[in-house]
Amino acid sequence: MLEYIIKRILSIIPILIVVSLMVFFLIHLTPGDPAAVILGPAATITALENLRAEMGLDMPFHEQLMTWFSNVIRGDLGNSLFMKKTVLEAFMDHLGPTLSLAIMGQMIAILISIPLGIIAANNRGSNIDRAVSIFSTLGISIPNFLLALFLVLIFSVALSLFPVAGYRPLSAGLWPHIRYLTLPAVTLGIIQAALLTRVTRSSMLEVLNNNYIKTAYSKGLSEWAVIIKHAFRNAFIPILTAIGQSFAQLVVGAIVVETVFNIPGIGQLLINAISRRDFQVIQGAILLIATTFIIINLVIDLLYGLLDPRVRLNRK
Amino acid sequence: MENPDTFYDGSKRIKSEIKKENQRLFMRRLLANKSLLIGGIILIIIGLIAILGPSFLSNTPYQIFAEERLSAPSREFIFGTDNMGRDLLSRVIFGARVSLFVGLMASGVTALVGLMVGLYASYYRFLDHILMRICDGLMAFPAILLALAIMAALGANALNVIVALSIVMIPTVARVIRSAALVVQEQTFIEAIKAQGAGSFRVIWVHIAPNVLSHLIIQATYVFAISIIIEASLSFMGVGIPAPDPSWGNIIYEGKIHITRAWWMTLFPGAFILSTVIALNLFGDGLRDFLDPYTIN
Repeated sequence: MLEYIIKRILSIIPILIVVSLMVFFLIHLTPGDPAAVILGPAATITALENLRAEMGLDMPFHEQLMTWFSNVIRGDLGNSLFMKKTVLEAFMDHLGPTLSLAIMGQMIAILISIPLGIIAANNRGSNIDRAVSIFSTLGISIPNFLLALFLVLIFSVALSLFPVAGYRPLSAGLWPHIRYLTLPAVTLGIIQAALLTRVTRSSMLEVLNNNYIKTAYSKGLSEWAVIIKHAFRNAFIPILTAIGQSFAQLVVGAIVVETVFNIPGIGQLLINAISRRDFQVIQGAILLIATTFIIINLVIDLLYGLLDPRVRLNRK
Repeated sequence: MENPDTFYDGSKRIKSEIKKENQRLFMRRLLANKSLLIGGIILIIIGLIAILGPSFLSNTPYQIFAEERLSAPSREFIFGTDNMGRDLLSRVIFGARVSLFVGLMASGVTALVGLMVGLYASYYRFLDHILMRICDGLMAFPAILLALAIMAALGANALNVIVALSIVMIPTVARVIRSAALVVQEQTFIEAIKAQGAGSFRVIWVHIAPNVLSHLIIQATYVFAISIIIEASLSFMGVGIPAPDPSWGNIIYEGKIHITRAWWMTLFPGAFILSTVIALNLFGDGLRDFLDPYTIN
């Protein structure tokens, strides 16, 4: 087991190196001089030179690369060019709303998808199954910002049940916090549920074909006892993995949906940084997000091995 | 069962009948495949709207009717007008041209480069390591975020959207092609061809490539669908297709602040995005069943 864990942990190092290289090269994708692009055509030569020095663009290429790597390893992602704080501080300031939204969305997704998936699998080929499959096809096809806007049109504009946009932090009270986050979280929840319903359904179908399910039925257990106790428990591990892996996608969804509702999260940080060409923030945020996802995937893989001994035996 | 072709070999009349029979079977399988059919029909309709639509329009997408700002759908403006008083019907139809063109180009580039990367990675071990590590790195980034970052560096315009989309999606296609090509290479006919002295270029492009083509076509359809979604998302966040050119995403972006007064600016382009993506996904699913009947859905 220990060998498996160490191997798995070591395997992410090359990916992390490639990822940080790519983020480093991002700024060099900019046509022309990044400093001139940031400051615009009216910039003076001294201002340009100062900015170049600040961004390290005056150094030779290999030195820039070395500085970048040594800074990243020490966790120093540089300073925002426009906000008077470090990139890490700016990121942390905006993380709360995004996480709040993602967690609420994930809960809604689980509440919708697991019952739907179980019911669909248990009634395979029926009209219920077909309706569930239409739901997941629709959910997979609709871009999240569009579903968000459709929900706004129905529940905010037509029915005035929820605010059109805005955000209240948890410190302003739990109820306003939830009220403002409901529509964005439901958006994310529905889209995520579309994916997880498919996984739950197919995972349940696989288990329901096993002989021990027939045994459970033939010894006279009730349908629900068989489904919940015998089938779902065994189908749960792949579902859990899918939930974990899709959490990354959910966070990205949250970043996009935030921009619909003007929620001051990572999405807003990124969009503002892009419009101000605050490259340090863009690079830092992208690197932080990618790294977090790589680590989340690693943890899921390790958990999977822990939960299901067959995995680590197979992977040797 | 014997192969009917060899059984009746020599008789041209019967051969042509077999050909007809095969065509009939092909048509029957095609018509039995509902997702392929429905997806295909919707795609053809949307395609026709994009190609022929503009010749039926009385207003250009840039023409401003200053007194008609944000007016609701009416006989004169079927989809209403936008915040600047432009005909929304015209903008949505020209937007279809932009969005579909960007999606088509992106999936074309992605399919071509993905095919090359996948084939060469599967054929040469040393390339495999390098190319797949780059793919791993690219795939570690969430697609929309990577596209967003590339757009931030390159600047917002249609060409850069195509570049960003391709960079984001090539790794997935390359992976699929690589694993399909590895399976093909295990087969004896490749060994036989190599033993006959065929060069690597010939083996890769004449013998392996045609055998992974069905995977490539299916992938290209899904990539097209994802391109439409990502392009719309980028344009909606203001970093995709820049104004004043219309795309479905940036029409919705402009309509966002007017959503309480002008639902039409969201609903109509949104309906086009949704039906295009659904049609592409249906078409892709149908294509998968049609080209590869052995995979169980």
